[in-house]
Amino acid sequence: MSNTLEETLETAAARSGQAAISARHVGVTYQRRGQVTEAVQDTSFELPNGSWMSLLGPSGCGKSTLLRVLADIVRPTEGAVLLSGRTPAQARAERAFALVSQQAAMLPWRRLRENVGLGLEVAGTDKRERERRVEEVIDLVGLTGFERAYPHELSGGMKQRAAIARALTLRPNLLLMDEPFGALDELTRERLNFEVLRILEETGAALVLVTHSISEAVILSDTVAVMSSRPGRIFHTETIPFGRMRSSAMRDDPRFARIEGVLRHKLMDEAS
Amino acid sequence: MTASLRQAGQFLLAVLLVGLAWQLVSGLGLVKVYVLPPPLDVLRAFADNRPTITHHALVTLWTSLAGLALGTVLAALAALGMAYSGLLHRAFRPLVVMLSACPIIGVIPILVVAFGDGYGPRVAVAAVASFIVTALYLVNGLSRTDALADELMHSLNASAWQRLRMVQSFSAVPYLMAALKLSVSTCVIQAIVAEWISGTSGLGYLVQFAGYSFRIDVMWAAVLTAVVITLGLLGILALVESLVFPWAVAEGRSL
Repeated sequence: MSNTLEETLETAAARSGQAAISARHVGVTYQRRGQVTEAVQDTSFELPNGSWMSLLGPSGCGKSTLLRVLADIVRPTEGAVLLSGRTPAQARAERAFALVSQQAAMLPWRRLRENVGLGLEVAGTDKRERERRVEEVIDLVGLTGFERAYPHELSGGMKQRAAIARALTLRPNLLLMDEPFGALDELTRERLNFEVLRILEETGAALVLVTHSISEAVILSDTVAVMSSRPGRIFHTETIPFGRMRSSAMRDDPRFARIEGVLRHKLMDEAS
Repeated sequence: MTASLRQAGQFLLAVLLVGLAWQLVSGLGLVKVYVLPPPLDVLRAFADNRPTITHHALVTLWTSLAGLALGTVLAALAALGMAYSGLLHRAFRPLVVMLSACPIIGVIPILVVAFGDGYGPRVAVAAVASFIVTALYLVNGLSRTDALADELMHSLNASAWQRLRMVQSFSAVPYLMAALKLSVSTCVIQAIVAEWISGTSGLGYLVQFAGYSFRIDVMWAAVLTAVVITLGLLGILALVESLVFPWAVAEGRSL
């Protein structure tokens, strides 16, 4: 049984080439106390290497569940997902992707540099290499000088930067972010949006971002997939035309407001 | 700093007021002197019998500490077993709860028969007391880790051993500290009760001996010494916690 599944997945991998993500007819159904909830329904999409995509939708539309399927936390009940030709479980074992969740998930008993180095420590990277890479990413996210601070001594924004730094230490070719800035104030959020842009451009990683902020989705994506709720599925895909030349000036571009408007209408039409 | 100074001042004031009330109540003869001697008499008993009281206090201190150490180590092992095996958890947790309902004091005479009237039975009684509290707290601490931390370790493909070493052992620290704070006072009390029943030394023995010889002032001096021992141990625990686990104190995770 598992053999045939693996064979199917391998042929699917051959078909899809080496796209960062290839999702085929993914469905997730929860069963709790006899009640069946369809969180994700028949969702297919493909994300080219190094490309950025947002899953945009109202709370409870299954966008987080879809991300958790990619991150090998939730098993799809239908369909399959391949990350650069591997199953999510294989990709996780190879630490090919990194997950940044809504809360920074800093371990309170570790200083910043130990929290950032956690992934490398788990992976068994030797100490000298670990220290070098930790220093490098801490510099990249602008936290130099706070290496010895405990999480309780850091602001929400700093903790989230540290979480991003931790994700980057393993040099993943895919970043999975689940509303990473949801708990932050608007200004910090926007500043971090552009920092993530810069980091993505420097590292060349692909991104899947789950968000309910329309402007965040536009800033950080090549494509925005709009999801409907119950059952969650992608009902509209918007291509963002800004290429790789992105800065805070793009917010003043008339196209930015137009795309925001289109996405807002799509979301509102779906809600009514 | 000024806040903690003020707190200490308020505490000292309360001690003084209680002492004054006590002095008045027994000094004015409202309560018979052989029931409650005035605090000045008790202090004098301290001064007059310092070598004796110190000797018995040290016996009680070492008995309690040995019991605390033994009970905590056994509890840690039991809790690890119960946290990792559903079978062990289902089988042994109810037993630990039953043990907590068991009046250990009642079996001290049997323990004396089994282990002799040395330190063995007394340490055992103190150890059982701390074992119960610490085992129950640590099972909770080890099995209730943060869902986010679990997800993080999962996404990093961490092994069970890495999770235990890097997450669970730390998230259990606040539970361990809470258990130790509870255990300290029960250990001292249990050690004293055991000495009272079977001992030939220790504060429990001293209380009993002083009572028989109608040295009520010495009896109260011994009781106050036990209080000082417990408070001292609690203070050391709090200090260790703030030095070794500053994050636990700061995060308000200290239960």
